[in-house]
Amino acid sequence: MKTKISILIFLIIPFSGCEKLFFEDDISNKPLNNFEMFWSDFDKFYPSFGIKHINWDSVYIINRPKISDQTSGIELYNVLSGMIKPFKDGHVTIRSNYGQCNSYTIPPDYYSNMRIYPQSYLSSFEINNSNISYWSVKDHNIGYISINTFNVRSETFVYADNSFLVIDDIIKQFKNKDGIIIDLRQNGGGLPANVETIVDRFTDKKRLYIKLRSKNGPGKNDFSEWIDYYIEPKGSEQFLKPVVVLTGKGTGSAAEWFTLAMKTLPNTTVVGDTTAGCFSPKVERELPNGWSFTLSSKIAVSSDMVQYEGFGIPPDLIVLNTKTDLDNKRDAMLEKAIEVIVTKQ
Amino acid sequence: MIFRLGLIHAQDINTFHLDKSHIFSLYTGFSGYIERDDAMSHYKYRGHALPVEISYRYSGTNCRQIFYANFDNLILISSLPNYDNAGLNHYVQSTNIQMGYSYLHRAFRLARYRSDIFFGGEINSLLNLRQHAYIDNNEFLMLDQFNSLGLKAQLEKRFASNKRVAFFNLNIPFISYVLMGDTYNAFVGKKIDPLMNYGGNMLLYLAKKGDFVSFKKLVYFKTDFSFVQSISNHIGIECKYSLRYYKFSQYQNINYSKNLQSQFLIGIVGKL
Repeated sequence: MKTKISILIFLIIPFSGCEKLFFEDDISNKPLNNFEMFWSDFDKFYPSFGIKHINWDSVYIINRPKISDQTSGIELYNVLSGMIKPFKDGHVTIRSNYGQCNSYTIPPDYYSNMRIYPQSYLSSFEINNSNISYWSVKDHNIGYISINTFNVRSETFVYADNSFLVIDDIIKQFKNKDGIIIDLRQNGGGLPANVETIVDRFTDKKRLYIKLRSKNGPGKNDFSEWIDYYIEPKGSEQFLKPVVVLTGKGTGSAAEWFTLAMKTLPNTTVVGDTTAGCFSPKVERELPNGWSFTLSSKIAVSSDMVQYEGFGIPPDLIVLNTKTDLDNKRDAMLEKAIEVIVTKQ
Repeated sequence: MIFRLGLIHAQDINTFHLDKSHIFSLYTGFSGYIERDDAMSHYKYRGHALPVEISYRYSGTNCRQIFYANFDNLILISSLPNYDNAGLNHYVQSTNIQMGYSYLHRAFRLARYRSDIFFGGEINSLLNLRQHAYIDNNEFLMLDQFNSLGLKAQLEKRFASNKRVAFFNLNIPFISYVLMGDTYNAFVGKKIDPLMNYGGNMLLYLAKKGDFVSFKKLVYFKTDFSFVQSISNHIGIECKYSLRYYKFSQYQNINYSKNLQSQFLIGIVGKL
């Protein structure tokens, strides 16, 4: 029996020491290690240094001397935050126990990402779906759709959410309208699969709307080939009359995919302000001190190869809501959208 | 088969081998995992769980057939500090499913040592599905899925009392059809990018876009050591220790996931 136990122990002990054999040690939590990992991950994964005219090597040279083993947490946070501020990318953020730094921020006195007194303009104002709501515009034969997010998934392995199929019912209800206003001013993005569920109900034919490529290696020029993304007619019927898309600085990520897709349609006018300019999906990474950061990992361009990443999509008609509009309970952007459709009648 | 050992004499060992039997087992016990997915994190994640495994073994005159299915569901955590107030929680929700079928043929009989050595092959399918969450429990889905064909060896050792048998198995897959990872991580490419707007089931999409790989990209083995004690002619208990390791490099040998699974299992064994 002793022999058998010895054999068992002989077999098990080497197995229990396998971690050292198969895994490297984790990088220790020191200020310098945090700094190096942060810089290095951006260096390997971030695709848009060139577009944003950021010399990441220079950023290292400038900031590395500020870090030592005596650097405090708040000092480290300030250095790392300062490094990402120039990105002005909605998908570049750092989260720490000292706070969160977003490299893209909407100015505090910005009023073009909100609906101002919608009850003045819309026939009824009840939320009929948490993601997508729709009403009629008062005194006009115009439909109004507000999409607050595309970030919904119903199943683990499926990116598209069936709740967006409500668009088929909306199109049926609005088919006799003179036009539709789609409000994306508060839409920070989500999943492109949900974007296409909506846009496919507004196109009469298959159209290329965005091209995307990913970092696929650590080198500055390690990119995959361009992948084309299309919209195409889906659903029982499509709405092909005038459409106005309302955008602003709060319109980001997948909502910008939506805007680009709608811009390929001849009957669509984009009204409002330039969008956020963060098309690429983000990835999350970790630092040895438990902080996390996000960054973009892909590059997106429009069908005609225009790169809006970092710049945003400019509207066809620039209209901004101001503090005066807010005080006067006036939504100048929505009024312009109504005017565009009325003019096109 | 093995539980009749108590009824036969040492010199009847050939009779034992001619005995055809069907053996069903149900196990549970303790699983330990260490995971590192470079596409998501520089850090190792660890966890343990209560696994469930079922198996069926057929013992023929000169062959062995084994089917098994193993399931684990657990939360992996790292050594990184969490800051709940800041929404910084580092964990990975992991689901592991592995199924395999092997056919083995007796290659050697070491009568002096009451042992047999079998060689053959195994086909198995492994799914390691992970939902990584670092900020505000926002989960990013990743997976390793291998469908492999490998070489397998088994050593059977009967002990003098004839009531105990020990098994040692080693399986090394040499070719695998692997699914690529998800699009929401670092370093992906043209095979995965179309997932961005894919409206259907991601697993089905990935299943069509997999790659055949061998040792260069996938280092993978599974070994186990088990010991069976018969209680009666039809019932026994089995203790098993298994170790599984893989390292899969997806892109340019830089984007890899590593997983080490070790399991102590105890099971009830029924023989027909």
